[in-house]
Amino acid sequence: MKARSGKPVTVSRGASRSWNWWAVLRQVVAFAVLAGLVFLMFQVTSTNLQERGVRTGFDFLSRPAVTPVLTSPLEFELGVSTAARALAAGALNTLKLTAATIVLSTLAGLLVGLGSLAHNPLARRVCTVYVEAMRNVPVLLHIVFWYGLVLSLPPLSAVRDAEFILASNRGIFLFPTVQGFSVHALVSMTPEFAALFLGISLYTAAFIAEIVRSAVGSIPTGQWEACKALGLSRRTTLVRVVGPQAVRVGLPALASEYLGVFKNSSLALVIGYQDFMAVGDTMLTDTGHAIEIMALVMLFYGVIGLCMSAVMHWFERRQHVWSRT
Amino acid sequence: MKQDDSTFVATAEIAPRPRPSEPAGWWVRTRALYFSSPATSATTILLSIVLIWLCVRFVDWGVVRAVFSTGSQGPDVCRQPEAGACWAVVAEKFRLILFGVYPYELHWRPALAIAVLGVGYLLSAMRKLWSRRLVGVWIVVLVVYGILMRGGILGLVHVPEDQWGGLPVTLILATLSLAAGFPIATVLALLRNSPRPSVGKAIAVAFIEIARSVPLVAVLFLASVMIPLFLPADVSLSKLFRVFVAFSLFSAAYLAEVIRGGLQTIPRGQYEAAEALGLGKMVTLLKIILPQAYVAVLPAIVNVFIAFFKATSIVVVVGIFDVMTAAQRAVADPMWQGFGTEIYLFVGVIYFVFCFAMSRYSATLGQR
Repeated sequence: MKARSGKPVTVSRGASRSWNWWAVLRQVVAFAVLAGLVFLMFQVTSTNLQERGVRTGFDFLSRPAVTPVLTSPLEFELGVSTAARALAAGALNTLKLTAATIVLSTLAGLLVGLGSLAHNPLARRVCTVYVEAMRNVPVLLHIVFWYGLVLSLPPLSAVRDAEFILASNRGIFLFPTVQGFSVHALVSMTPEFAALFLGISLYTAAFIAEIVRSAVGSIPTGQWEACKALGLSRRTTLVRVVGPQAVRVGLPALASEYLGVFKNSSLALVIGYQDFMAVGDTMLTDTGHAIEIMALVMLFYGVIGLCMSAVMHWFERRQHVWSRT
Repeated sequence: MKQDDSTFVATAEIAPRPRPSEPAGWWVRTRALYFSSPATSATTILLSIVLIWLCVRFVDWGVVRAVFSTGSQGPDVCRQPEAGACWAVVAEKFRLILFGVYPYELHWRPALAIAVLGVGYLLSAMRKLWSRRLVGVWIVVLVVYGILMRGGILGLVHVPEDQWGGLPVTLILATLSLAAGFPIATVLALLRNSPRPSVGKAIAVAFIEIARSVPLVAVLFLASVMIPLFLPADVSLSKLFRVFVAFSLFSAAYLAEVIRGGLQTIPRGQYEAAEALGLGKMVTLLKIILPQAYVAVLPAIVNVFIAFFKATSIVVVVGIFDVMTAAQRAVADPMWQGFGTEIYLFVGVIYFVFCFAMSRYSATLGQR
């Protein structure tokens, strides 16, 4: 149950009834002002659009896209594939990037977070330095830094004999086989994807590490002492007793970090990875349908973002039920 | 009897025993800390090897083989195969990164403007100076900043807004948009926290939730592409101002949630006590509820400030000339291509200094 003590409560029923009409009137006026503003904005916008000779409507979505989406799970053929398909390809790229980044940042964050709880002072110091160095620098700087590094890797011809990992300025490949100028690999990343993946992951890992550290730190020391008295090892205590309780504490913050990863993936635009934002931006320049495309962009990020936070709230409530039983 | 008793009582004073010998020597203490178990020892050794390797590599690249100055030979010195880091590129570009395309011979003005803002930050950080006078200080700071940057009076040459750039733009964007976002955030938080449903509350909830679920990049695009469409044709706003509006509204949504958290820590007794004293609603809010709510969540507010200071770097996408854009411009210079790492490390240090200072400050606030 959330604390509700902060909310002022009307003292008696009689008092509230006597000025109820005022409250209703105020609400009506507020609603009228809001509706008026929206109407005015709509009016001004439509005159502006008419003056500039911009046609509105979503029919551009079913026409062929002008700019191709080069790397995507969806097949894309220039001149045939529609704008809608280009946006879908961009959306898939966004989701792919988000999913991969969430996995790496969680693993790295767990490692660093647990490291900062270790007995070993050296490990603790290293983890603290990592967290401070990473989180105090903008994520965009991480991304462009890694992009510069990946692009300055040796060319493909110089490293073609690599067995497990092939790091070249054409991208990073795991378990590659090189045939002529093309590389087939189990996992292949373009330089843009690699830069975003590494940059956002290493940045987010610092925040996840702090969440892990403070979640474990929030569990009373009595829990550790009781386990010690029972003869459990430190490791068993962490995995079986403190860990499960810490997960419950840290989960909301973790979920909002994941939402942050999703939002930060839109920085792909800056280095030219074709995610939803970047595809939308190119399409805006190509077709000039600014309002429709911005609406689609807001809808895409808004709906997925709101869904993620809804799932997060639902999970939190479920956790609450568990903790009371 | 008397004799028996005396057997239990010492007749002579017993000298205190020497204290138990401490695990003597640095080696014993080190072993207890770093080599207490096989796993700990393994971690220590592994980490030491990695750290020493990294340090050696970095010192070799960044100090031993580094080029600190190219003399008169230009960037080719850095392109020798044995050359390490090219710090000469930072020496060459730091004025572009810090001051953007501001007229070169007038760079003392943005430098002074940064210093003036810095004084403002330092004064605001001191708890004993927190009073209404601080508002006056900030008005002076902003006026001096405006005079220095814009010029046109006091014999200073006029410099139009589109030539401003670098750190002064980053700082003023962060400062002004958070200053404007704060009152908006307070109103949003109060609306959302109100017990009765109302149009205002619905707007506040919708605004906060939507703004928090979309990326800043999209909002900046919205501001630079859409605001001109929403406004009558004869009203035109500068790009910097449009981005400032977007930033204020966006940061307000995040600050509102933090302030709402603060409002929820205020016990109901505070409202009741104020009512019992006959205080009006506004007085209760301004003099009793809000001051306590702000103080309760001060560290979290500073954390939002840090996040938004970093987020100003995203204005790259709409072409505002902040530190990040200046850095990208410096990296793109064909004469000095290929030294992005050095430039980005330098820019990273600039951001780090500000953010680390703020986060240390936030930590000291939490301790009180």
